[in-house]
Amino acid sequence: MYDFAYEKPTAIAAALATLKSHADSKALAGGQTFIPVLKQRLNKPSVVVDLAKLGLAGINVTPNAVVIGAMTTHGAVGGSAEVNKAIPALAHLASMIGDWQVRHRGTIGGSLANNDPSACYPAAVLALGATITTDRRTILADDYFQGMFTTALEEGELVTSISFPIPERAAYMKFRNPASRYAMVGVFVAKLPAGVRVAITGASQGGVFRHAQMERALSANFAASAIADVTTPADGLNSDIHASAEYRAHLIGVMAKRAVEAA
Amino acid sequence: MGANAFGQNVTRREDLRLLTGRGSYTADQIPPGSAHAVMLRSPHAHATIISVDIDAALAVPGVLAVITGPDIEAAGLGTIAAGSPLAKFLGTPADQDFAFRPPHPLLATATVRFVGDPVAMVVAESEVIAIDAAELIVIDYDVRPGVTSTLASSEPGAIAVWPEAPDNRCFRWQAGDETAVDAAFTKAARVVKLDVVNNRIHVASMENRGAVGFHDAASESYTLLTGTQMPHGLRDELAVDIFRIPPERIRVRVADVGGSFGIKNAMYPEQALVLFAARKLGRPVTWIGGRSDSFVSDYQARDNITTGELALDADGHFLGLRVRTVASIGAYLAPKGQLSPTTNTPVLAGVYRLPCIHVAVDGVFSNTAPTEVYRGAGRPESVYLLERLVDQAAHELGMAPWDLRARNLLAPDAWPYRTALGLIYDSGDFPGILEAAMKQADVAGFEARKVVSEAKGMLRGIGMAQYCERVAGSWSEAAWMEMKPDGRVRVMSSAMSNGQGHETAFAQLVSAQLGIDADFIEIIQGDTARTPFGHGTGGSASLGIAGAAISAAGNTLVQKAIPLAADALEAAEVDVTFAAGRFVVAGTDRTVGWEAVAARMEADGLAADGFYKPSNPTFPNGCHFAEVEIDPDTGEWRIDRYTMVHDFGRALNPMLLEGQMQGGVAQGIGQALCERVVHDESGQVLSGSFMDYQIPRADDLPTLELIQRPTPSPANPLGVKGCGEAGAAGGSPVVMNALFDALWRRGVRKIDMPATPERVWMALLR
Repeated sequence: MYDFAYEKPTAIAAALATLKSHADSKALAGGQTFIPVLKQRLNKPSVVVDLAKLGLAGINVTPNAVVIGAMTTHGAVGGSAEVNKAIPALAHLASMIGDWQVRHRGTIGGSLANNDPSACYPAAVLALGATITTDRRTILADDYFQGMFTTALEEGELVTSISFPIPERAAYMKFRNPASRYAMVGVFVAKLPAGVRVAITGASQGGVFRHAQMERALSANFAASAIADVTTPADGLNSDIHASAEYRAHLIGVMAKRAVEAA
Repeated sequence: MGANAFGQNVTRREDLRLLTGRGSYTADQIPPGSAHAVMLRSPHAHATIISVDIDAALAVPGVLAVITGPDIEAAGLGTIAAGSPLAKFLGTPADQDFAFRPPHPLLATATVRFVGDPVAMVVAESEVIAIDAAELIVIDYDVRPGVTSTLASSEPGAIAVWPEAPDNRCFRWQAGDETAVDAAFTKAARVVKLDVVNNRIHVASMENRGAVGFHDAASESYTLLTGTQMPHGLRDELAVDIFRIPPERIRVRVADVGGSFGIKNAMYPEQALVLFAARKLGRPVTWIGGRSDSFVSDYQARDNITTGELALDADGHFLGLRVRTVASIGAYLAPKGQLSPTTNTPVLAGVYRLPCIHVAVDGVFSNTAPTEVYRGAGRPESVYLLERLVDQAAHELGMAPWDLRARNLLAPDAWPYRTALGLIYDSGDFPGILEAAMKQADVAGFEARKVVSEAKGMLRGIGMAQYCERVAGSWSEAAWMEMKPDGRVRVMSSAMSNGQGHETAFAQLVSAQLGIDADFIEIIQGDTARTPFGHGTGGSASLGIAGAAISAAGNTLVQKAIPLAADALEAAEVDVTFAAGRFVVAGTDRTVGWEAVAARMEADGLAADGFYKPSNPTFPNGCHFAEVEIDPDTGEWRIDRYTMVHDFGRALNPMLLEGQMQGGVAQGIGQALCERVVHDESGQVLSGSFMDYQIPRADDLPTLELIQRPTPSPANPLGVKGCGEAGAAGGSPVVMNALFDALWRRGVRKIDMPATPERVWMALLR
């Protein structure tokens, strides 16, 4: 990696000030994407602002929502008895990210700020209709994800917490990329009072997306059979050495059905 | 001694060190004051170098040198050996030779020929400075079209990797009786044909490559510290091919080696360059490759396209085998680059009565990393082709694969049996192995298990592979043994452990032979200054050849000890014999142990050496069965059962043997399941990290059940056969046969390695 300055502030205001005052500054959450990028010399930040001491880690479960601090690790979410009770699908998702090492460093806020098109958390946030709270505002999931590695966050804006409404039923099914074990296709299905939401990660060139046809069918009848005939066009889906767009399109259907059955 | 007897499961003495982070690998032995080197590699698969501007890099504070191809030429250094002589077998034309052996420079000068081809070495006070400086080197490339696909590179009109080889041909080689095979096919009742791809492998040793070079100006001699299987061969290549000095002026030292599997066998440019840089700078120079270096510049492996045809009579007896292979050589012919597709093809005879075989191989260049030997070095490729072809035949004939095999197996009453490619089988019980394997695999219960799988919506298949390797017969080895007056024994071997457990195995061997506690036996390896000559580790031969040499040294040591024992026993030397760790006056119960011998030694103790040259190879053989379950909705499949019955001759340490089998089978399964090097059309490596290159994880692998059914090898005094590579030979075909069995019932007629979920899904779709 290239040399950079490193700061570890203890207040959000200080973190924001540092990020704002330096061109090419970068925030560091769990570092599970960012540190490999630095090691490969693919990024040359001036200052790295470590968010670990901002007090942003923690889980708070209310009767209606699970609120997770941005710096909460996947391991903490996956291992939380409260999350497992309130939204087991969310805990399951977190417990399946990466490996032990990744889960004990990687954070939900880092994952969402990065918005990797193969990350798992975006599927849960979008399917559950979560709300993302930042240092300056709240953003609805439907407005937050704006394409591969692109979000509604402004320059220097920090995610502070994510609030997940508690669904009636939900499940996440991931077909893992056999090499990286990222989601090659991940489907999060959630039955909420307002209807069913289905979010797909890993598959699309545009990052996580909602599957309107499946949502309509499942809102009418929350059963795997309801989406048996729903096909997903391969247009716009990723194609790489592991899976063609057609294979991904097929897997969306398979994983969605399995998610409904598991919910 | 009982705990260390031949056949006991002695735990590995290396493991405390290796498993607790206290191993000492090349990167752990960087000397104080060493400079650090990094390599600058071609980002293009094929390009002409217009210019190289190193001025900005040289200006970076702390940069000591930037070495480019012209510097190497100006210094008069040689090039890496382009292959070694082509093997000659029955049917190989006497004048058969390479079509073209390209020069393999340490650094490219005019043309780069694969992504990863080294162009410059930057040496600096620290690795970070060297990396910074390397980024400032400006190379103007004229990018040319290239070719990376093995099939495409062999076709007319393909881009030529070398102008001297316009058709990309490195060699065309053949063996066997083509006329007899043609005749067999003419009279055959049935011919079964199979095209297979043996996918290109990145070996992915846990420890990346590295090298530390030292130069002593006063004695004009070099020392190289590096991970290698063959310290002496490397020393000789550096001396003869590169520096053109007597071998005794180069010392190769080897620390712990974190896996090799063939890739740390032949020489690499960096191993010569650190020595050159050390001489130039007057201080040690260290290069420790990163994982990204490994993915593009380690020698790669396999990468064959093969057509096999099997002729059968009306009763299913094999009449002849015809094999045509296009083997990828890569951009350069690596030092043993021709070996895998040629030298080890006699393994094509398998376990069968196969009257005639003809094999023809085209070695072709492409704009890819050079290929080298990899666990089995051509034997797994041959076993894969033959065993898939036999299963294909069974399916086409509507026979059970085991029934077709049983009909064609060689039986012990045939020994010695001369195969169609000239091997002389001397031991083994192939029918007995098959019978035991079928029983252990519970073949009879397969149908019931299939019903259970199908009830879950899964497809289930069963497959087998039975094979006979040919190992441990190609070279000789020496060993040196010393006993000091304190009773401690030191053994020096030229074999070089890369993780196999030589320290444990050799100590156990000597302990069993001499009756001395293994704790008093020290095993020295990996230093050409302490072992003047030797071959090194490879070909599953460490016990069969190096072990036999150690055993010979032990016998000599006993002979040298007898006069001292006779003195202690107050007996005539001729009356003293050695048995079970004691010196005995023949016909009496009077004995003394080694302590009596040690007490009578001169201060420098006793020394003995041993030498062993095998008269015939050994023939490890076995039978693997596997069952797989396929999820037809996704194409995912997993191995549900895996059993093997093996004949490795006498087993010194069954636990180490089982470990070798587990590793070998894992690599075989890896090739079948997931491993493949992929290039895009421009020659970029798309599988350049573990994010895209999948090696099998522990949870991809089934429980491996192993039963041994040994018949001692008559080819060496220990009766051992060698187990290091057999797992890789059996692992790929058995799981592919099991997969194919399930797919066949669904109408699928072709599936290649790696059988990724997508490929299986696609196969089921059609």
